[in-house]
Amino acid sequence: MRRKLIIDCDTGSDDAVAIMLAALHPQLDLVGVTTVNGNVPVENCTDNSLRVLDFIGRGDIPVYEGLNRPIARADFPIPRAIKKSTGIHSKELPIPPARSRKRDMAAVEFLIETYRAATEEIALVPVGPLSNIAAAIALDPKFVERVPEIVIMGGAHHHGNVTPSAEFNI
Amino acid sequence: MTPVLLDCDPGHDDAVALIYAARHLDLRAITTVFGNQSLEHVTRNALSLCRLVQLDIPVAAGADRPLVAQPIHGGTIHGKTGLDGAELPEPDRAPADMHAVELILRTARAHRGELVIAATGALTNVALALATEPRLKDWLRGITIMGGTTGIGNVTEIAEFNIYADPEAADRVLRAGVPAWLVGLDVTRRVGVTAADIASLRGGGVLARTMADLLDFFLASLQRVHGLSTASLHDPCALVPFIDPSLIEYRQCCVQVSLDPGLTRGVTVADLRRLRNVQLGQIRPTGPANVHLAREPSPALVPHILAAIREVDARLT
Repeated sequence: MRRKLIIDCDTGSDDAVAIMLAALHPQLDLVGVTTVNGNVPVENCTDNSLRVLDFIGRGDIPVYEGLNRPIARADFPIPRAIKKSTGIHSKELPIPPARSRKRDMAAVEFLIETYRAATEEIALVPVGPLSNIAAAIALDPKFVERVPEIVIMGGAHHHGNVTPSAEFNI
Repeated sequence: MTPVLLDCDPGHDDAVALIYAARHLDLRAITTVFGNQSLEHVTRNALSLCRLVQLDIPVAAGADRPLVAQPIHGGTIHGKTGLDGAELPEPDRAPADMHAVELILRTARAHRGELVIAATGALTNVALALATEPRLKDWLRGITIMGGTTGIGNVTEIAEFNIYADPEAADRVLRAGVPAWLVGLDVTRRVGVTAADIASLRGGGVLARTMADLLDFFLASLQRVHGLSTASLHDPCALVPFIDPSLIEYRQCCVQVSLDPGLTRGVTVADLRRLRNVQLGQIRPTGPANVHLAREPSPALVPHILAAIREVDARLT
């Protein structure tokens, strides 16, 4: 049986690879993609995610846009211009513009409603800042029980990439 | 009539706000937030008040704690239930099967460009709604808030309860770019009912007599804790800009929330200077005006609120 999952991401070049892997792997069923402010502004995360899905012929997978900044702090802790100069993530992925469009519903509402209605297990895989997930937990006290498994890319044990010990997503 | 969603934590003065809104505005929905009492108590109170006022509108429970801070623990001037002092009817229905944020978004979508959110508790629900759906800021006509102060506080010396209860949420809301009205404790303390005002409600029907019981309790609480001689009607003041703007004078200015730990946490810092567009050392403007800040209540305001209670009471079946 194909394993269902939702990717919450800030596409982002390595996020693009994650989306491709999840969307094309024969044993995975990518239910949807939610985006969050992170590597690039959220509008660009959304656009890039749509580009990737169209590029691999999976424009049928829905994309929902999420939080455009962290929940509590007004600024974004990392000056993105530095990342731009390093070329780690380009604002716009170098593949053709998206033909598909994001869905009208907000990412957090999609997450809550999908897990509320789910009859099969859907793994949640956040690979960006956890703002959408935190908001979903705040809005739905049962959300935590309804998500069978959460697999996070984030944090660092030995050394970080933003500070000597802190990783970007966290 | 202006469609309004009341986000509240009833609460004695929230109860007055609910009635004031029911009399003069198109009250579409009520959402609740922790604050004057636990979320469970204030939600139950909102449902009881709806039954008392015969309001058939959705009520949804929201946040039971602040965005990031630790919840405030300890006593409340609103008593064990959040609405001590009167026998309220048992709720005749359950809250809506959705979070307050979902009800806020649904109501805003249904009244795009028209809905006003009146917030009379901690701003957690409103902040979460703005975070969840960034387009919400364009769907609202405005947010009108009871919170903050330019002088005296009621939790700490200089911090007002609603802002202090969740400063990070208040910060998010005030930065959201939605047209905002803010009435602070420095103004609402001057909008108080006397024991004689309260007694004058006792000639009315069930609603007026219930409100008299509630306000008696509230006045006694405020006398005992804060040494006040009148019961401040804080929360209904938030509705004034959309009921009769002449009843409170507002001024546009920049208001920021202090998120620092320590003495100033949860304080609203209002720039009331009238600086010219110059910089002289540290003397410089803070930023563009983000709120209409209440400055001066009219003596006609308290009678207007009391009249609303009597009028709603009189039209109940």
